[in-house]
Amino acid sequence: MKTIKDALVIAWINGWIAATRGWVWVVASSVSPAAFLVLLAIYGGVEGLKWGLVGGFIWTIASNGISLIGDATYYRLGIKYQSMLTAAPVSPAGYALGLALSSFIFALPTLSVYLVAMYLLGVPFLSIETVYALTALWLASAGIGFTLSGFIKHMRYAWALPQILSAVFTIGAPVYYPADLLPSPYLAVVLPTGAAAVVVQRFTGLRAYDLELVAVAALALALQSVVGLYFLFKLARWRQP
Amino acid sequence: MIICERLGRRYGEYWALRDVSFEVGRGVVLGVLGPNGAGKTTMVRILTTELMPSEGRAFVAGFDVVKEAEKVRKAVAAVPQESRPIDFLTPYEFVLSYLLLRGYSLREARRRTAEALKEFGLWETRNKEVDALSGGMKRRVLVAAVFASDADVVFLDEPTTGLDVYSRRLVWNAVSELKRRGSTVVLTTHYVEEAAALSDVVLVINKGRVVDLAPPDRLVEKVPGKYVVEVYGKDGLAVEGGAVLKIGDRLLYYVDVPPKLGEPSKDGAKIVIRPKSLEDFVLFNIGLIEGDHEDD
Repeated sequence: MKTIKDALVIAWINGWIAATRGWVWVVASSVSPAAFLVLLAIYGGVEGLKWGLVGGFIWTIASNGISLIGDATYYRLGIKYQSMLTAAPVSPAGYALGLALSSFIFALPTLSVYLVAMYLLGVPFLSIETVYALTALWLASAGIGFTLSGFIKHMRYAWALPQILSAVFTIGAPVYYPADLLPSPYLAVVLPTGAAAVVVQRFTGLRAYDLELVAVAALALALQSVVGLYFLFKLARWRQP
Repeated sequence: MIICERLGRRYGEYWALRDVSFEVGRGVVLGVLGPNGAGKTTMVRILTTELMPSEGRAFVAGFDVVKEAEKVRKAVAAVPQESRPIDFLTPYEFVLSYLLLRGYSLREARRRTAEALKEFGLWETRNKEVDALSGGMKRRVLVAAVFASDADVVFLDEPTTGLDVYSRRLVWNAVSELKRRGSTVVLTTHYVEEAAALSDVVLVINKGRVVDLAPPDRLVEKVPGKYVVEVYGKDGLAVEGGAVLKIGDRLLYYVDVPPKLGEPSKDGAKIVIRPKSLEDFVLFNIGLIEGDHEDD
């Protein structure tokens, strides 16, 4: 219960207050996926637009976790806020989930626009399977983001690393293109974004993957989110060894 | 309230803290003095459960900082060295959220936030973004948050560095008030007069080791003589008898009877005669600071 309260307080200050006072970050979180969306719409028409919307949604969710690297590092190294919270009954898990949740708040306007657009285009986006895939993706990427932030020793790397990871997670994985373009479609499940994309693309009708591949992707996502949470709860703890 | 037993921390082959042992009780203000790199911040980070010790044990509020970190965290609050409040929040939001994170109910957190902001002269600016406040005010926001938490043990790591005289005194008031409430305060500082004025006990550390631990007056008694004659300039006054400390072109003579000053020297050497103080204990025992280690 305390972990949830901590997460909500962090999300309130770092997400809601930050977003309402600095709308530029809300825009910034939507720019890259929107750029892909436009390109895909130009070259792929309505079908390209659908791929752009689904891919953009997945990218935005993954970015929520990855982008917390910047905040977590700034609070740890830049202003020593994390040190202040270490000397207080605050759980690292609540803190990390709060940071991820605050990124989600930034992304909410973008995600809402995507949902409406997909509804208008007849893409059946909201289902148990897609919600599962996106939730698991969010947990996995939050775990990866918070854990990686703990290894950063200089503030200047905190802004570069998320950009590299975003590129790897969204272009290296079949988020905007079908998994069967890879040498083996099973390679898609190596990264959580690819695994989530396989599930989401299958259940939104963008690609008719084998059910076996979808099952493997769902399983991989479960494992990745458990590993992400393990790192978040156990390895990304306050104390420096 | 705080017990350290042969506490040490090593980074590779370099010992940032070594063989530190001391004990302070409830309601005591412990001043920690030492040059940059002495190990002050390392010690605070271990005691606030942020850093693992390499050797020894430490207990804060009766709990082992390694084995019972969760219990320690409920009892302590800290303003870390070089920390700043989140710049896009207001002082009110920063203090309120800190108290909520510490587990206070919204109602109680609001009450305590208002009380602390008034105490630290921040009530009028409570709705301004921290970014728009002066450096001294930002520092006071941090201290106000910790002050409002009512923790048993409070760590203030160089809380007055860079503050104006007014802000410094507000922080001093907070230290006195925390002591009155029964909290133990660990205050690391470079301002020796601040440690002398506020501390019940002063811990002097250098190169990771304890130099001495005693009330400020007792430490001052350990300095030879009664007066200090500080002479700056190559052609300055030479004082007979007593101990002498040389810092560059500055000579400090520790004497029982101050000399009578004659004509100023030709090159305009500056001479100051003053009673000995805690600063002299630090100068005498630590001497010249050898190399700065900012990340101590």
